[in-house]
Amino acid sequence: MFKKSSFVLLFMALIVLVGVQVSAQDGMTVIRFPITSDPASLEPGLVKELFSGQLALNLHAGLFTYDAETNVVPYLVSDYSVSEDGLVYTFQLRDDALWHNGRPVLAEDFKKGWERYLDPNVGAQTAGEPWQNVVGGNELYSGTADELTGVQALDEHTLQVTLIQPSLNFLQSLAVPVMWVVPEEAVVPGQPEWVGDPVGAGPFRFVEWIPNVKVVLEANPDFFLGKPAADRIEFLVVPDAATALAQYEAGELDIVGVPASDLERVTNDATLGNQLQYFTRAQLQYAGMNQSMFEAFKDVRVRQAFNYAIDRNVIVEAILNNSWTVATGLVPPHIPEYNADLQGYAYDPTKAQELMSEAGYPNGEGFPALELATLNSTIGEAVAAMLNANLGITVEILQPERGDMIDGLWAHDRWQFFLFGWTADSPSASVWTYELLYCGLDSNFSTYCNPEVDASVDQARNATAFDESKQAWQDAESLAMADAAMIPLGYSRFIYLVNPAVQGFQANLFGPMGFETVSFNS
Amino acid sequence: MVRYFLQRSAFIIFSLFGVTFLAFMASRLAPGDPLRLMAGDQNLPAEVIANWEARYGLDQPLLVQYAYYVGNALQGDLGTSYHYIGTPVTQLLGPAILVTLKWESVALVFAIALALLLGTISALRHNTWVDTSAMTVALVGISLPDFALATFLIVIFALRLDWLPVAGYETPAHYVLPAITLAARPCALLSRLVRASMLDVLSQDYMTTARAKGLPERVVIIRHGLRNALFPVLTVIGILIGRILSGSFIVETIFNIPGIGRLGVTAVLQRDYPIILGATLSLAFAFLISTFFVDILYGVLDPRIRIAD
Amino acid sequence: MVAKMGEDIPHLHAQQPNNPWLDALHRLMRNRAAVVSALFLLLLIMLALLADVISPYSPTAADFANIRVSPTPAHLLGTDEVGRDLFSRIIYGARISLFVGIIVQTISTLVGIILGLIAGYYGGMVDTVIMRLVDIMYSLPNFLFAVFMVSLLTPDIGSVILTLTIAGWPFSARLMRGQALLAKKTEYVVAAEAVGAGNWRIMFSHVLPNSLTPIIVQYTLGIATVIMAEAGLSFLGIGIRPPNPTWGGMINKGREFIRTSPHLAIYPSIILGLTMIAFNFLGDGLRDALDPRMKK
Repeated sequence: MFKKSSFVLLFMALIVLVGVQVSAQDGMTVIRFPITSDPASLEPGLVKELFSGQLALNLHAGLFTYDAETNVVPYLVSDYSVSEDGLVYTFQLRDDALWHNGRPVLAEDFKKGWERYLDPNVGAQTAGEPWQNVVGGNELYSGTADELTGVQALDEHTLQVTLIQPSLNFLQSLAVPVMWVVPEEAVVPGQPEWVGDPVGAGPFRFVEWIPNVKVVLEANPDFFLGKPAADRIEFLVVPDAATALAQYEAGELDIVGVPASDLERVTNDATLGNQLQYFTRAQLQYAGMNQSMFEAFKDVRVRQAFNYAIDRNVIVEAILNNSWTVATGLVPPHIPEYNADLQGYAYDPTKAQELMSEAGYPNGEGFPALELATLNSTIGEAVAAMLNANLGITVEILQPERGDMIDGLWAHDRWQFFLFGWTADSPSASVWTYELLYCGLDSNFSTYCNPEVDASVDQARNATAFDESKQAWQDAESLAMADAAMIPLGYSRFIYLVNPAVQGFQANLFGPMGFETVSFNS
Repeated sequence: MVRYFLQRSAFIIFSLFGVTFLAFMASRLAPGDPLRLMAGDQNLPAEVIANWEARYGLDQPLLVQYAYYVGNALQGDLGTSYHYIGTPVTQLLGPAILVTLKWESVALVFAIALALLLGTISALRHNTWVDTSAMTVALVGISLPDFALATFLIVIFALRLDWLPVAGYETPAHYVLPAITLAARPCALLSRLVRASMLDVLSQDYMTTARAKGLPERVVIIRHGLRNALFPVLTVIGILIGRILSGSFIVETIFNIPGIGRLGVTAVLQRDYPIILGATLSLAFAFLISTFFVDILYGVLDPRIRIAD
Repeated sequence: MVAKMGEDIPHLHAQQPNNPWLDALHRLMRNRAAVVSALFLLLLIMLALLADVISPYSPTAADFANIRVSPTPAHLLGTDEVGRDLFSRIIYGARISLFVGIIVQTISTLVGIILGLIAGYYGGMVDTVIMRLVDIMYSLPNFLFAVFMVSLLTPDIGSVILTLTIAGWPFSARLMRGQALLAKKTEYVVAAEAVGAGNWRIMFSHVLPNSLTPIIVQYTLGIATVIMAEAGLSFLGIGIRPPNPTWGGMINKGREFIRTSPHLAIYPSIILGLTMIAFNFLGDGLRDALDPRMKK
């Protein structure tokens, strides 16, 4: 007894002495990961922002998921087949998967879960896109039917989905957490609320959520791919990025995103430099020119002048310490439809001034004052300074809170000019070339409209062969670039500092993956 | 005395009504739709918005909404949050208030104790280098915005020297830096006030009388000097408590303390009206109660002052 | 006794045989801290007014080849995160910060004086209505209120000024009312009433001049409070819009770079700190000078 406790003491003293930052609470391994605000919901179908999505990957499981290379891989599905005409999908579910309440995951759960998401009272986000192509989806959503007829549980573990049209990316949509479901006994029917604690089928179980403080999950011993190595994950709410980084450096967090302002210092630091991990990301950072709010943006020459007047190399290298790469098009690299041949707009102030003169604003004369909305005022200030120096126009900066910014973007009537990042939830050009540019679409924040671009996008969306679709997407992108539909600035990366004791932390194009692969190596 | 209590209670209730009415109307007349903010990154279909509006009673006339709010508030129900869907506001406010009370009482005790010490020493060593340096230190406290002070403190004491944790609220060690940051301003104001008040008292006749009676200097200073010097200070302390409670947002954000200041301001940015109203109500209540207690304390300490309007 | 934070501690100004303002000025001139502070503030105001002439660069012109450089002869205080000259931005920042401080404090003091005078002089129902409104404003959590107000309006210099003015007037109103109550009982007011002088005339030519001392002191200290409050709003990105320079905004932006380029936060902090200290010394000096009973 004595020996044992003194050994423990000695061991603890050693840890302190050596300074190895192993997060341990009562002998448990804990991963402490910061999130900047509370998740809005822990239900996967109600995911509204980054953090809910990240929690969903740990708490929940779906038919498919994305692996570290962003390939769609079966998750709760053990086998599946697609009919000749590409309309009927038959999924065989694993028979060893359990909900956290101990009940097996059944095919019926998906039918009921999806029907729940199509109830307007629940307020699920998926109520649009994928369901428009599932038989019975539109009817259920509009209230003319009370069953999702295109989805049937053939037996306990066999699920059949019937589509209206063949689709190249139906499986991709199933791999996104918003299409994952929860058991009906865990939620209030017709309301976006849980009965008691959140229940999923994922690698980690819910322990507690203290609003404003943290969400705690623990390893699920019954997880169908085996119990995760880490005992607990604590998602700590840390609103201030500088605080989060300082907490990591003081050993109070295990993983932290590195703000561009500190990247140079962290890289050159003897200790921290070795703890840096880079991951590619599918995000376009762009400046949007809202044509319905600012008349001058309807003139292609003004839009081109803006594109030529901004020095992307300065933004990426000098200001962001290469935490982005310069954008030459709309679709980021690593997306199958990426077009490496696009050149983008070079920095050319002379040409920019000529175009402004042609448009009737020589030296910016007569150009109305412009407001730029941004979440990152450093880049905003750089853009404002470049436009002021090269085009002679005045740009003032608004810094709305994130939720407010997004609200204004969807409403199309708040921001004349804005900096925003548009991130993929599926690896497809559609995310940018369709969602940000298609006439009349809500996510087309610039209210851009070009029938030629739309024609190519339609062709791409309706194509049944990948090569045909890829060509059409690239055509649409080239047309939009020539028309200066927006100002692409850069493609961002994920840059994390990871405690050396933490092994197996991974991120794919969409963000950090579930922590089931993470272990401790002290 | 009874009449005084009744008057003050009526005053507190009146003020709370006024505060909630102002906040309520302002929040409802605000541009921008809170329900759109609830939707997060995604765009919600109109059907969903309509359902949510009905759910939160946002489709009723304003005065009806306010009447409902007051009626429910009297029964201890402050509604449910927009952001934390389905979570009662009281459930969010309660823990936040507790956390804030805990660390801010540390700050307040710290501020008052240090102010008394600095102020008294300065007054006793009037116009010497001790006085000058103590007052200069005090001035630095009012001269920096708290986010600057907090940042400098973290860099020096948590990162360079590694003496204290960067952020959090779990142990007493976590309270030190935020308490210093928050205490700096009130401490500076108070110590200058204590000094002036003490100087005033030191020259009074009863001090000379007390000394003449042969009492030891320490007793004279503490029993006769400090006690009398405290009166003007007390009023200010009452106001400081209220001000401190609401001014803590920046400190709570930088030191990552899940208190009422952070909750309230985050709610403003997220347009989470039920939380904004709840936070305003509880902060106003805290302010009114603390000034009330100070008034009573005033009467207890100085029998010459009759508690009366 | 000393009035702090604009509280209404009774304060009666005695009529002097000589010109009391001249006497006060003489007393102020003997207070070294106050004189130095006044000179510093004057210098600052000069710098702010002559910013176009003095500052070596435009406050918004960015030199992308020189981002976050440490102080050099070319850039006396170095450059900021997009390569703008920090010295120039601090000078132009003085213009905006002082402008906001003085405008807000002037308007809120004027409003407070008028409402406080009316409340204190007339008493009765008018007094009750005004003072209950003041009480409500007092019990509102002030920072939360300011953030709420600004976020309801579009964040720009106008809404910042409006919000801080609305938040500030109750302090001087309460102070003025207390003064008016005291002044009302003095002989000359009683005498003026006896000879049938009009209410407004009595209020503005008799009550007000005899209540000015604490108002002036509070006005001086209040400017500092307003400048600080604007800095607080800039922490949330709802202060004055960039790229317009304000000290608060510069310090807050510098916070992001505190580990790599500390000068971004430190220089504006120093100038803001000195300004705060100067306003406080000047306020104290004025108090001592205007009220000779304070001097022991």
